[in-house]
Amino acid sequence: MVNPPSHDFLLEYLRLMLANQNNSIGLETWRTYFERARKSWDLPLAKELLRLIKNYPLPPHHESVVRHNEGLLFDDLGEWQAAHRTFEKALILKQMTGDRQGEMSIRNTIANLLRRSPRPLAEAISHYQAALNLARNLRDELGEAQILNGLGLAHYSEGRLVIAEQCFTSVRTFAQQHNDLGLEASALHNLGSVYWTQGRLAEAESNFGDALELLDDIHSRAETLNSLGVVQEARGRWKVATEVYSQSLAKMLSTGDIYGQAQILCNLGNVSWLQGQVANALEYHQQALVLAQDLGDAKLEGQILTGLGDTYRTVGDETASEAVLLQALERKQSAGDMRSLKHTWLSLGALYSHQHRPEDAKLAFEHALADARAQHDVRIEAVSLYNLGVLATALENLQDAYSYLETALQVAQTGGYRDCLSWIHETLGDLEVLQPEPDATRLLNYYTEACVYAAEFNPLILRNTLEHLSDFWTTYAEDGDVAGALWFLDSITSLWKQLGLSETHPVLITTFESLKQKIQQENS
Amino acid sequence: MPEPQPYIVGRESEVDEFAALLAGKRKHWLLNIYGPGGIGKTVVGGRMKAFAEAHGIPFTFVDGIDATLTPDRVLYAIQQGLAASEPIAETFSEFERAYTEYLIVQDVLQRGGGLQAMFDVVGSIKDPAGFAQILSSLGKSVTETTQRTVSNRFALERYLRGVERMLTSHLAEGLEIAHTEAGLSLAILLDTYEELEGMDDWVCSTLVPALPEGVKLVVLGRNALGRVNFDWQEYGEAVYSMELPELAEGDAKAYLAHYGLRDNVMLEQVYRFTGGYPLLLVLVRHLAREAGGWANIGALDHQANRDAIATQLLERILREEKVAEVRTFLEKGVVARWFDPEIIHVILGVDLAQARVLYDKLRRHSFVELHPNGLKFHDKIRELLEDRLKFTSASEHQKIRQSLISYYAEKAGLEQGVDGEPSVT
Repeated sequence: MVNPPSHDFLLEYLRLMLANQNNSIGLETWRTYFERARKSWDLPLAKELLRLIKNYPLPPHHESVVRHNEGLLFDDLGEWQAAHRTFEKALILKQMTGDRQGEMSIRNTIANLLRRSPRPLAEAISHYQAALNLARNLRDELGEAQILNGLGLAHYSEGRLVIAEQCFTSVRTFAQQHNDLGLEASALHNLGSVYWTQGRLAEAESNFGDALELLDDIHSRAETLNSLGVVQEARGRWKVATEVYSQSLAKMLSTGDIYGQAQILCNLGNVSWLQGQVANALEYHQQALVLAQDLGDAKLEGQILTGLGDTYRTVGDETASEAVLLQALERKQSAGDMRSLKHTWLSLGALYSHQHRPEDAKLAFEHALADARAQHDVRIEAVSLYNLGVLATALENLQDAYSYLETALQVAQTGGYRDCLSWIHETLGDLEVLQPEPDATRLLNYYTEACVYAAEFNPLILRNTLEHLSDFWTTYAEDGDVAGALWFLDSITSLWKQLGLSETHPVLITTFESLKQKIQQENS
Repeated sequence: MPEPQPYIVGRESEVDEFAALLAGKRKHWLLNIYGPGGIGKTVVGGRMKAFAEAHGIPFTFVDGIDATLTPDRVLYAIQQGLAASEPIAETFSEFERAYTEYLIVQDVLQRGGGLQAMFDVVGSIKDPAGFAQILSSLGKSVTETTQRTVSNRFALERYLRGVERMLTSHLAEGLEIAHTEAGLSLAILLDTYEELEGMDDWVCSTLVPALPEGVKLVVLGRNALGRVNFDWQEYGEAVYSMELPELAEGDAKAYLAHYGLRDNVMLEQVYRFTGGYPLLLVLVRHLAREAGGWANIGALDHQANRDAIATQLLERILREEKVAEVRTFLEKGVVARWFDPEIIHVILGVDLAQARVLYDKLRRHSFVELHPNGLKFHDKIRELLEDRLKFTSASEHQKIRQSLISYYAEKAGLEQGVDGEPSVT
């Protein structure tokens, strides 16, 4: 005789509680263990427990509790439509029994589900509002805080960052006052997302770190690690980001949460693309896409398609890139994912620039800029302005180019985006060279700043910057002004030596010294 | 008294009901026949099967007694049964292809040691050479699609998540074509459903909604579907549950005769006593067995109430039990749904060695049958005996219940409250 597994004893325990206690105690006990099974992502046990409770005929007010929990399980399993149907049944039962507290709770749950679903966000917001009214009428402060947390995320999705921040701040304050660690962690995490979007990366990292300290369940930890990876990525620590995403994925795999897995795979794809590992990027994005399509999650699909479009552009498949990016745009628009539309506009702008379609590119960057400004997304505002500046430079519209780049510089400085600052300085340097009488001091300063910011961001961006400068001055020499190119290389290396950069960033000096030798040899 | 083979009794009216269902004369398309074990549900199923055969109705018969059944195997069994019917044999080719692919995937998973062993954290094959060897050792041609599926963790997990739905959908498509081609209703009979209750949520929420019009489903089991899972109520009039009714006099007597009751006077007396009611027939048969033969069962007092008759029979059976501890356990052990020596020890307070001896004795008792974790009582008998215990000694029932709650809580690793009662936190 084999010893029965401990789950069998739990089931027998609950059977006795359900059969012989009065229904409320039995149901409460069942709910405790059902929630535990869900929280630890033991979904097979949760399914067993659900099967068990359905053996018992229940009065409507108890059935509504079971339906609510059943819907949550469907949601965990990634079956949002089944979850929605089940929550609606629970809502009808709550209304039928006049349970206003229960109605508030189920409306909040439905709103949370709809917010993440492909349905228009207005549906979610309408449920949040109804729930909020109920909470206020019932003077349920905890309920109100929980609803505000979800409502904040809806505002965040639509790019209303200021309102979202207000919601999360009041939730965090409430949670701290009432020592509700789970709610506090959630509010901290959500605030971190707002800060990340606003370019307040240090605050975002600190918030995510604090949230991680408060969390003990594997799923929330996996989600928060993913967010920490996003911050590392934005800070240029791409290898660290890859490592953090991988840790997050390992945790998420053990939970079986498909949505979470798809998100992390998408991020792994993005960070691989940034590092030039396009084969990996393609594989990750395609895997993530299949999962998102399985889930029927148009928002997630739109985000993944954007990453995939960038990767196709990099591998030279521009037709696929455009098709995928337009599809991403359509998905995001249909899902009402206004916050993330600007990323796709940026990618489309980059593609059209690459294809020498300046009018289309300009339009795309202007869309991104308008969204970024409306949503207070500092980073995308800076990147959009920078791209418009580059586009104007290519069209030799120098006045516009300066105007865009100088504004981009101010915006990027507020967010401290070193990669962006490096690109802007680099382009400003290129623009200076194009002047009839370039200002030598300004020129040297722009390129120096470009290299220093790049070096502070990460080695790959620095390598790109140095490659750009090497190509630029090689071409400059090839075009006939060898003396001008040698003057620049001499000046910049001596300036960097004076600044002490030969010790902190020796690669800057060695790159230009070897370039100088090469130009001298070729022209001797 | 040795237990003879189950006896096939009449049950003509259920067959008539089945015929009406197939002819589309009923609002419902799912017929659920339930009743206690051992009184002829399988016989009813067999008769329905014979009726379908005789009338050229394509049908399939799935017996839940097969412990290896899983949703995919149920689907395969349905397809195999229907494909045996000549005119529609070819309509399930898509299902067959998908099922073959599924078997290959399962084979690869098994040979590879499972997902964790096969893939790294980002979903790639850990050991490409070993994996290639697994594929080549399958001895089957593996399509490119299947190779792609098994070569990546996420693709494979996605496939596994959707495979039940996919196979169900292919089967449903095949059923629809088969129904059109045959121009007749198709019948699916699920027997011994109590053994399939572990996958009832799949039957209720995946299989049944996928069945196309023209497919009639008969579910035979110990419990009404509405008691297995309250989701069945959502089908409304589409599902019709009927308790297996009393046997006609001739059938009831034939049943009793089959179990050794030959004396005409006694046959009449026992029939009158039970009224042909299935549970009572089963109980009286148990009584005869425990008493050592029909001649020893003594007088049977008529009572108006069936439950009272059942209780009287149970008491008579208990009195026949000569070993006091066995009898005590039959009276008290019914609070547990299944038992092993440890549970006997918890309920009776005897030491474990004694509990093991008792367990071996109980194994042979006619009320008892096998359970994956040990032994269990027949469901209906357990229900009656537990009601009896609650009625005769509510405090004893409560005491046993408390002991079991503490025991289960301890074994499941749940927290214990200060008073020993498991606490809900």
